[in-house]
Amino acid sequence: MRFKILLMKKFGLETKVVISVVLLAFFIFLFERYEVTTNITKQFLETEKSRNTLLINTISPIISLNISLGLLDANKEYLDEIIQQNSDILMLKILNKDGVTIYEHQAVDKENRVKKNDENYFTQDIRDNTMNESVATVELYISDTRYKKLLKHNTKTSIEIFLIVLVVLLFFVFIIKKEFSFLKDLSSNILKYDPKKNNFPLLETKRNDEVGIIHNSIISMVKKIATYTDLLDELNNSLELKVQERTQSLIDTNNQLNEYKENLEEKVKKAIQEREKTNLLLAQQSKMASLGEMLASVSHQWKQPLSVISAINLNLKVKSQLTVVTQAMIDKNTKAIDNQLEFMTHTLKDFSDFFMPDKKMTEFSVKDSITGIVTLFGSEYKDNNINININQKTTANNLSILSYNNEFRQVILNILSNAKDAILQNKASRKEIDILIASTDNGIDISIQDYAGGIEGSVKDNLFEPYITTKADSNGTGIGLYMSKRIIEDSMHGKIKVSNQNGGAIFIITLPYTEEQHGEI
Amino acid sequence: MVKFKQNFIRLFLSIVLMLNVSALHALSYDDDILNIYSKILPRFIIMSSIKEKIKDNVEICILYDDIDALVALSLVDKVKSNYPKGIKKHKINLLTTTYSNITKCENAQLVFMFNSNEKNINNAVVFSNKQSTLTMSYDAALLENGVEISLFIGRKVLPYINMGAIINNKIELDNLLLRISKIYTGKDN
Repeated sequence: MRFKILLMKKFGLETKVVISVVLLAFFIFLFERYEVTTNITKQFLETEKSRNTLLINTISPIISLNISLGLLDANKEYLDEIIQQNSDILMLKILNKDGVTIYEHQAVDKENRVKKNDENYFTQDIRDNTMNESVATVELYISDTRYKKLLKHNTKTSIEIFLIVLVVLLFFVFIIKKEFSFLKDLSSNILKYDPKKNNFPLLETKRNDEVGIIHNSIISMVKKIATYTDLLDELNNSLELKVQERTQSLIDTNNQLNEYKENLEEKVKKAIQEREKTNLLLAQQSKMASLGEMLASVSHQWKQPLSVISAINLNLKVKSQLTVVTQAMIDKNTKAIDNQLEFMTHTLKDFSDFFMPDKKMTEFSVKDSITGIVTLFGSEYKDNNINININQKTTANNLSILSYNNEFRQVILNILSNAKDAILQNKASRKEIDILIASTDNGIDISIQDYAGGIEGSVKDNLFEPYITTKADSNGTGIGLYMSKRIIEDSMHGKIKVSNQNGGAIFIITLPYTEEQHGEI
Repeated sequence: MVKFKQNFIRLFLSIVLMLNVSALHALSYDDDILNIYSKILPRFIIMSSIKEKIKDNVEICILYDDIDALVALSLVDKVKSNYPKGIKKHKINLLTTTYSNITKCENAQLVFMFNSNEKNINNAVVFSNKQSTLTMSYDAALLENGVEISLFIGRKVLPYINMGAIINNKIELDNLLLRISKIYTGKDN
């Protein structure tokens, strides 16, 4: 079995197709012949049986009538005539009702002996229908020589057809094989074909059949391939030259770029250094500004205790001139002065802490931080009748973030200070600053709205650039908002933007939640 | 007693006939042929359209000249011998009469004619045709006179049918009868 499978694997498709076609043709042919022969034989047997039955049924009434009428001579002549017309009747015998033979015909020989159990042997009563009685018996034996001859003829015809089909089949197999060999040669030549060597004559055939169409199509295709190969070679050569030129050009460019790169690196280094210097300067300026703010605030905060101390001192001087100053009075005034000094020290510490940059991030409440600023610097705003309203719009009680609190407070202070300056500069009728703290999906939004007319468009677009200021008297350094943006975006990873709204400017700071806060909110 | 009387009369008539000059006529009738006639007589009635005329019994009338009286009786005996129980459940009544008393045959389905003169034969044929009765004669030559059936006696014996007379009298015969019979077509046949 394995050998057969291996043998089949060795056969090509062509061989398999040819074998399959031959086998199929043989199968169909044999099946058809078998079916036809079987049917013919059946039909023939039925026909013979019918014929013999018909013969007996035909002759019986006449024989019956002749016997009944006593016309035995007529009967003999009639039967002789029947035998003459049916040469395959080997034996015909008529026995009267007493069993006496009244007619007999025997034509049997060695080959055709009467066999009573043979299907060709027939016997039947001959009845007189008029008298309703049996008058004789007919025995009939019919030769099947004709049938055998017909079968022999049929077999002969089958063999003839078989041979004709076989010859035609072989002829077709030869033709198909030849067609395949033509295509195989073409395939072999195409496989060996090298357009550069031109080792295969690309000649078209004059045949118009399928093989010719395939052959000419392949030749046409190969010709195109050869043409395109030449074209490709030319393009290749041209391309190689171009590549060389381009490579040289690229090398030159690369060298130039290297030079530029070296120069650029130096320029970048210089720029970075200058930027660092600038930033340092800006930071310094910012510090100075903050220091100025702090000093202003400190001096403002100290005004009242200094006045109190001065009043105590004046009171003590007056009392010492008018009356005797007792130790108790001195102690009382000294204690009062100490209280004022303690307040001043505390105030100084608060300012000092405020302006001291945080080294570590701490968790702080946004609202508390802003409230602290307003408390610390609120006096300046109160002095100018400016109200600061702090609102929180959130479901959470206390919005806290983990960040640098002092830096955040400097940013808020800077924006509030700018708002205060704008209100005063523009003499705004509505002297209010609304601070709204809200939690959103992105983080905590802190919006600071004033109603001082807003910021001019040209300035607004570059407001966070350094040295950009809206302050008319040039009190502004143009550093505050630049530093605020850097703190919010670089240190706190938030965002800050400004727009004009409700007849004023609104700054919106968005600070991201810590991961825990994000989960809570 | 009656049967004895009939047998006696027959014997007597036979002796008389044998002694009579007319006995020459009797000698012309072949016994075998008569036997055949006795067989075919009722069958031609049964196997033809004449059977429609049968009421109860098959009626056959045998006409003869006086000289053939004994032969006629002989024929009657043969018919009775061959069909002792009648045919197809019908009894067979055989009436023998001379040509002069042909009117006795008015109820017969078949009239059998022994030889006679041409006048008697013609009268019998005309009478039978009027009655739509099948006619059969011993002598085939009488077919020429319009008798419808006879026997052809040649190398073999066959019923002889005058197809013209049959058609003229609108009688239909069984196909089987036609197949075993010879057809009379005219005098030259």
